[in-house]
Amino acid sequence: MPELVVEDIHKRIGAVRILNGVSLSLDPGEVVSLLGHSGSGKTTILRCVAGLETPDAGRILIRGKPLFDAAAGIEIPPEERGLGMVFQSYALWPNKTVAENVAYGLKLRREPVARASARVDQVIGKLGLSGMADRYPHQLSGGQQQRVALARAIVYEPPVLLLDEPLSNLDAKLREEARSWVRELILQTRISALYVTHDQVEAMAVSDRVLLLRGGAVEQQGTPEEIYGHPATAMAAAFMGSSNRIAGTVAAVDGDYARIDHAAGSIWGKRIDPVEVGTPVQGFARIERTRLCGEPGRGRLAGSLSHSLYLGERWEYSLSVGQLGWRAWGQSREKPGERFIEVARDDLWLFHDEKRS
Amino acid sequence: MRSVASNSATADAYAGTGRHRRRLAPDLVRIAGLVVVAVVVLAPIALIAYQSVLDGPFFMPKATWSLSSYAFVWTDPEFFQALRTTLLLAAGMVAISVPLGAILAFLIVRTDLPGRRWIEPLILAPIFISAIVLAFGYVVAIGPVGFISLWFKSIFGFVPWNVYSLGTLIVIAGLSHAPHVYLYTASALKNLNPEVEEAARTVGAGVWRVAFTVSLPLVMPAIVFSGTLIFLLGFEMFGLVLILGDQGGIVVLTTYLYKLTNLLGTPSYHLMAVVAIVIVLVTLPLVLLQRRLLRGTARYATVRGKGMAHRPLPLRKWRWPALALVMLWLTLTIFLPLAGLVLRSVVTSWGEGIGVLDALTFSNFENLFQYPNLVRSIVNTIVLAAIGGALAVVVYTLVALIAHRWQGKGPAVLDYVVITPRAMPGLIAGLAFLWIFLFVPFLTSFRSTLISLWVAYTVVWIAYGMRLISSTLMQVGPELEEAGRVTGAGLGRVTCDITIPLIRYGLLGSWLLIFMTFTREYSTGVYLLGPNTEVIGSMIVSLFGSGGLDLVAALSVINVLLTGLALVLALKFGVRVHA
Repeated sequence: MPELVVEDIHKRIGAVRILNGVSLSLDPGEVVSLLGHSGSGKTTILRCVAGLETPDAGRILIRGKPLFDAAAGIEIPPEERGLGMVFQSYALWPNKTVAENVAYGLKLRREPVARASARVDQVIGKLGLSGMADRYPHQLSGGQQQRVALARAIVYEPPVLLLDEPLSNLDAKLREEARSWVRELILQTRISALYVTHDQVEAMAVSDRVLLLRGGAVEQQGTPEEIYGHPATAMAAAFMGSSNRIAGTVAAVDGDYARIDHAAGSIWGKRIDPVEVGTPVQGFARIERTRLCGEPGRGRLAGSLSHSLYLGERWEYSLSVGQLGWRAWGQSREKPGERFIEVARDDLWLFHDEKRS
Repeated sequence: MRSVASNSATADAYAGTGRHRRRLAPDLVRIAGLVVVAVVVLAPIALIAYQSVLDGPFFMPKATWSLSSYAFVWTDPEFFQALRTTLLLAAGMVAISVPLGAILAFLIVRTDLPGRRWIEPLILAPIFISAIVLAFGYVVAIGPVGFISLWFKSIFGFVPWNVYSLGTLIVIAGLSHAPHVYLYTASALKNLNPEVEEAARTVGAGVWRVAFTVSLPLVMPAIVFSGTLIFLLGFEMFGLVLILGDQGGIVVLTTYLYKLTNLLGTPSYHLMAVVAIVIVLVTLPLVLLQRRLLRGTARYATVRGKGMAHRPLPLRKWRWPALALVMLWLTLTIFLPLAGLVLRSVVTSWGEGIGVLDALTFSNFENLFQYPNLVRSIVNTIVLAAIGGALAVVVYTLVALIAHRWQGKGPAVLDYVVITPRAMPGLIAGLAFLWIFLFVPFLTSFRSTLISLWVAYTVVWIAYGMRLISSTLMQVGPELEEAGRVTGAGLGRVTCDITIPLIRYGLLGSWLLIFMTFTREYSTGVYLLGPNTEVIGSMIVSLFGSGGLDLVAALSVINVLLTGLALVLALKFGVRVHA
């Protein structure tokens, strides 16, 4: 049985539809990310699960027991849901010490004092906060505060852990380290987690499954490899990774593939949407799958290289291909001038161009 | 497209059915609280409205519905004279206080005025001094036989001013109300990103041009708000006019009402109620206007920038003239009346030809302790301000918690309820509570206890107190409380374990401010004055009427010392005087 089930929840604030029928489920021990732009409704879903927001319709169940059911008029208040939550701002109580912050949930559950303090010590130690128990939050670094927030949320072993952009207040270097130990911690404690983030790399790194959201609905879901490697929609293709985009009209179709004729040349791509001859399409090709070439050839587009940027581990080339700006990566400095770009036909994904159809 | 449409149809069908189980219980508690507050707060004003349409005191069996009281007041030329004077006074005060307060704020907050650090607390002092004490200070300093007047006369042979004229009254009222404008303007200026001024200077504007074309226009909402506040305070002014206007026959609506008390031999409650209603009809719209304006100023605060550390604007050649202006204002508004007051309290009698040193004595203070009612008034004031103030803070906190994180229309309704008493001058609120404590059966036994005063004071200042507490509550991030809920604490538990501990310093500061406010208050106690309910403020009003000036001076000094002590404590604790 899934740990958490969210069924078709809707939420409206005034005239704005925040959630338009979101469903998801979380298996025991699974980490699922909610990924999307700001305003996609990802945090609202998390807050609905926590009980901090009330959906207008739908159901939310934990281990088969309803926390919220609009049709049946059930709404369990947040304090009775028994979940753990890590807030974006950490929300540590500034007037309580680290130990008091962590112990509060156990105190509310009437845990005997001796057992509670042993449990607090254990969790604090596990998160590398030993020796900080008597400090106040303002005496800790951002990274340490973040660990306290996690300790506070897992100390009473909730069935599901909710994390709302937990790493977004850390600086870039710390964030990279943190996502790795957060993943490790969640797997170790065998807790199921719902993880909200707008950072696609973070989402792929920490989770078993990613739900990509757009406009309050699930755009695509799957393992990180599926979402990144096989985007099902133009939005998913554009959102994940960094892509070059080409727009055109289908000139020929051959099985799974279609050809776009462009001023800069003809190029074959894969038909993700069932596009036919004459339909306007847009194609996406990841920058890392785009190759810069010196000579023309089949499936290559002509362009001109305007400049190269040195990024440390690689060079980034900026080209104009017809009216379009394209980018490619390589290992050496290239002089400006005429160049060609090549994309394998499996690496150019073609979708309907809704704006032009 | 079709699937989206069907989804939203489902949402519409479900909307409104879901949200019950959680919200119901806390909502009931909140609505009950709101009803209690509304009854307590609106009862006095309702009673006054009821009394105004009777032809006699409401407790008389033969009183019947009638508009005769309105007719009486409406045909009384003295009433219209009072109304005209009131409008003139309020308008004059706005004309003086607003520019003065705005310029003071700019000088203190934005420029390198010498000594601005220690001037700021002094500027706020008049807010915490009772108007009646201040007025008395002016009488003994620049009255016909005041210290300054006699000194001036001994040199020049004449006195060019008359403290009892309407012009002087307006100037004094205007000068002493500038701090209110200062408070609002200064706090708006502090929120203003200094880069907008620096930008003006880089394109060549001098300091005054910056002030009048950039800084002050940007804080205009705060200035307009304080202007309406001054007009309101002018309309409700009682103490200054009672003492400074009496000799010259200057009557405003509040003093007209006060004089009606015994006009007909029997209590003319119905006439007083009519005047009270006239005052409230003017002040209530002003209070509602202020509420709108205040919401506007809150929106304006988005001008705020990031790096707030900035260098003050250099005044250059204006440094010393500006300081001279500020010092002149401080002298006229604070030093002059207070020095007069202190001096008057340590001499037995005063008049032409008496040397200060010869008459020096502490007998006024000693005499004070001969009168049990005066001793009681001091003890009562301290008890009311300290213990009553603490209880009032508890009440204000409970009321503020009713609205805290309450979704829906509740908080707005509560807001309207608590600002309504703001439209009732203390004198009128005191009168209404007198009636309530006289004639509501089970309340009569509290009539001659401090409880009646405490209720009146607490209601009169509820809008102010609520603002103090709410601004503290607003600083508690919602996620701190949400974290408590998710961790497993119910609403009540979160309030006790998280919200209240987080605002404890704010509560301490609010208590000090309420202490000062209750110590300084005089008009609310005037009608409630009786054996055991004496407070310093109402005793001064009463003694001034009977001419006990020695005792008035001594009492006034004690009153100022009490508020001063609390102000020093408040500043020491870093309390923000402005709610």
